[in-house]
Amino acid sequence: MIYEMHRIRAALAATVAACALGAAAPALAADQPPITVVINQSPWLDGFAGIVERYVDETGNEVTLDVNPYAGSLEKQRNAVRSAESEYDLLIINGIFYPEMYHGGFLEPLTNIDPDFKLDPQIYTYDDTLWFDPETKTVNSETGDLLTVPVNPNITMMFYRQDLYEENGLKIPETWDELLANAKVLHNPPEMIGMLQRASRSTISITWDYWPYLISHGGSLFRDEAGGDFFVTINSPEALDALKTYLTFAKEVGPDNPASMEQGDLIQYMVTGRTAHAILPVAAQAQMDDPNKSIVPGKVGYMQIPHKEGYPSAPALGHWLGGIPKNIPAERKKAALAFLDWFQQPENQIAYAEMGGSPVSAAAYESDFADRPENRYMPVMREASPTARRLWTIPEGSEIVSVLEIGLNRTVAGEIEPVDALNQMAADIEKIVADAGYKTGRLPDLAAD
Amino acid sequence: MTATTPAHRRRAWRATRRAVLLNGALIAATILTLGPFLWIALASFKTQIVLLMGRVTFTPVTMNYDEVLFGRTSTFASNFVNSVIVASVSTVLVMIVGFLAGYSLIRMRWPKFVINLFLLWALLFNLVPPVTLAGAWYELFRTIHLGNDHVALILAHTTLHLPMALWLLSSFLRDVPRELEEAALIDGAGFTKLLRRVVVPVMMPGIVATAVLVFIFSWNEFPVALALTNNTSATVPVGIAKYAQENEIKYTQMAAASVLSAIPALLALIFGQRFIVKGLTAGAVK
Amino acid sequence: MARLKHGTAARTLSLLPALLFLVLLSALPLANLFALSFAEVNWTGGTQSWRWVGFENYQALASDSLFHAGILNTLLLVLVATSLQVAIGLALALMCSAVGRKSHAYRTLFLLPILIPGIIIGAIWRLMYNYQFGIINQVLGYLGLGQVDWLGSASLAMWSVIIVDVWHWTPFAFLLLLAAVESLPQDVVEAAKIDGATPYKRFRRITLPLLWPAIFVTFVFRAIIAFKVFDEVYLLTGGGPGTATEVISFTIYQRFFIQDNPGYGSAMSVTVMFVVALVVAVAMTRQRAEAQ
Repeated sequence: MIYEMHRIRAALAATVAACALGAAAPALAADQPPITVVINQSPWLDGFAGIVERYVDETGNEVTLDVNPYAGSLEKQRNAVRSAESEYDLLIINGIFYPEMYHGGFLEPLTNIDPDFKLDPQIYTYDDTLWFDPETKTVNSETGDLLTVPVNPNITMMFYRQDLYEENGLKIPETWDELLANAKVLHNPPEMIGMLQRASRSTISITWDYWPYLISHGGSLFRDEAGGDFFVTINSPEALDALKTYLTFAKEVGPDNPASMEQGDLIQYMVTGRTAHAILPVAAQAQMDDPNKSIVPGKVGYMQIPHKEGYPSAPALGHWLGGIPKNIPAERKKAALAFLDWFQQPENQIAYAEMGGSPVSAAAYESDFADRPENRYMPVMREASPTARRLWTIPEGSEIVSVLEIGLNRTVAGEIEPVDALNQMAADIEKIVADAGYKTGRLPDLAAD
Repeated sequence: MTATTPAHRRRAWRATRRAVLLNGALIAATILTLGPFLWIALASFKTQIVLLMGRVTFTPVTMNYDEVLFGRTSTFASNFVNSVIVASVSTVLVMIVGFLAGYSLIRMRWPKFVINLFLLWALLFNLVPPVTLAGAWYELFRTIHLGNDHVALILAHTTLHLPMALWLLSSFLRDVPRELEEAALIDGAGFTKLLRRVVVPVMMPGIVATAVLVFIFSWNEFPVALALTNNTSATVPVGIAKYAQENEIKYTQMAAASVLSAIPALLALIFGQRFIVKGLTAGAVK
Repeated sequence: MARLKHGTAARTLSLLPALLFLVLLSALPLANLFALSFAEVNWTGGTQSWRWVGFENYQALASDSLFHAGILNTLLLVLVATSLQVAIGLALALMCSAVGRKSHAYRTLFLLPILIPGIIIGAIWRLMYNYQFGIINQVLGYLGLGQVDWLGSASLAMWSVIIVDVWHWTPFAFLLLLAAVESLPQDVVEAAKIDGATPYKRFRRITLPLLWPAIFVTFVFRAIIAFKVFDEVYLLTGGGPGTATEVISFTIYQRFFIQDNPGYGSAMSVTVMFVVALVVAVAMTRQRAEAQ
């Protein structure tokens, strides 16, 4: 079906032809077979397409992008790795669903493809989510195999109204209490909401929003996931403390209908100038300064997510990982790895940033490019990337999240008390993990207030 | 002014009142139907921020259409061609296969259990959630080397919409007076002649209505199309779904894409109206 | 009544294509679904393993609160929305037919909503329902009626979904019923007119009974499609707030696909199919009995 070739592919093929004809054809020209990358449509896709084009220019290797709707990418990848031979050579895997790929044994360890392959030291490792140990079935950088290279660092950060901070002489908060105080100063509903939370229920919504609260109050989902201990600790006093903090924001500086706020609403309130704070993934920053999408261009600033006194800030990971399926011929695996290796190099990461992509290497965040005012989110990312925390590392996470989404959402909606919600969620989660055969248990029920 | 008797006037007044009520109700229904549709059309000429702010007055922009049609990662044009191919071929297939089967079941002395089994099967199949079908079909079509091909999606859509067509066409067929057919047969008409001259014309309204629905269903079908296509064979809904992203729902582009995708169906309805209306009224002869 | 005579060759040949489609392309996935519902599927080392679990998946349904919410919400949606669509669709069809030739523009207009893919309907209505910026609350504001939290209020969200569904799918009922209305034998209606029957009596005694089979089929088919409602709800509410708009296809999607639990998800699908088929079968027999 040549007449329908995808535009990118056609464009890339044209470039390849130009390279082959050109006098300065690169030494490596087309020494790798063509590869197909499965990826989802996103605000950072154009940047990724740009860097792929650059790879094609430089090496002469052919790359096709199969671009899918966000929800469709997982389905495509699942179908591909479960078939006799995957039609894709490189999977761009969501940071929520990677455990399924790891545990299912669908990905080829990168050092099996090339024993000399090494992760560039400047690449962020995002809470060690790049390694998996098939023996202990844990995500563990010490004992595990390297399965993926990150391709996008979509962690959360605090978006805030820098102009209002300056007007009111507010100072960047470190702790949740300081943030609450600032939000109260700016809270003037309905024109201006002090702080918006993503408290709606979805496939994964309020869980992702609650996570930084949970971790930065010293709480956790399990006692020691990396060590294979799945004792449920979601009903700890720390988790209750975190949930109460979360509810305080919803009640005191939130909107009338906090339980139905989803990410799109948060962005909408932010770009229409109606909220002072919102925790959003970094990918949303591109909309803030675009006058076609925002009435507050240049007025939104970024800061680290607050924490409780004595604990570190803990942004939630929603990153994307590049992995190579097992069920493709060896030479295609090599070709996919060649791209990943090229992609992770510091100079290419800087170029990726300049093309509007979201780099995953410290090199890019430390470059001059990161110091430009329009890239003011990048210095914050530099601080936040090493402290960002994963959610769970077992495939049962997709069942666990459904329990968390309903329990947390109902708490915000006022349908259930925080203590009861946490106790119930702990019991449900323990059952899920026990049924799946993990070593588990749970803390005794929290006492009612 | 000739009607001057009270009876005349009363009748005239009643007719006017009836016309006013009728047209009033129809106009109200039009407003309710068109309102959201117009709102979508207007949204396609707005920037995202104008839409989000809910501004009443705005300067129209064409950037959404630009991005949908010519954006760097846009595939709308090929999506569109694919949709036309898949929807029209599968509609023709569904109508032929469904009509023949419906006629056979209703008119050709099949034992009662065959008829019921067939209809019940069709019904049951219509109840399967598409998400549970998509994976199985993906494997099936890959095994017979039809993966990511139009043929796969056409066959899948035909299967998906055949039950509905079978049911609807059977119900319309039941209403065709047997006497007409018997008369034709006595006149010595063959099977094809019988269908062409008698059955099809009489049930034209039903055939047209069914075909319109099957086409629209295929045109808008999403989950199966997603599983069975890749970038080069994707249909319009798969393309449009890309605007609902993880971190950004591109409402205005979505609106532009949906206006563009509704245009062919709209044109078909407007130009084909004479035919559709004729089709819908043809049955009135009996 | 004597049946028409046709050759057996014509009889078999005419049914064969449909049989092929149904057997080859639908029996296989259905058999797969049925088998899955008694199994637990696991993937390790890139290979699949099935473990037969008997009726475990079905038993688990009993204690799945999401499943219960999904069933109840879907029933409410199907009954209310389908009834409204058929009633409105019938009214519009009768009115269009009464207006006659001048109604051609209406006929096209009334079909418009069905042309838009469900996924867009969800996204766009979400925006129109928006508490702060949405056009609906804006209009209510101009009228001095205050703001309504259409999607955020647990008691209202399902009705907001029903409104969208009615808007989207009334054309379906309208189209089918218009075809039926236009096929009504005119002589009978004319005869009643001449007899001096009032419009209401003509409707009750003649039109409605004649249209009844078409109304029934439209209702059944629309209800079945409504049972699978997914695209609209997905972007409109995502099943929330809480479980207020959790519909069964959404629960199946969650269990089957998102949580990658095909065994359990299949058991859910099979149960739903069985129950709905049963209801429809009963309705069909009663409808037949009444018709005779």
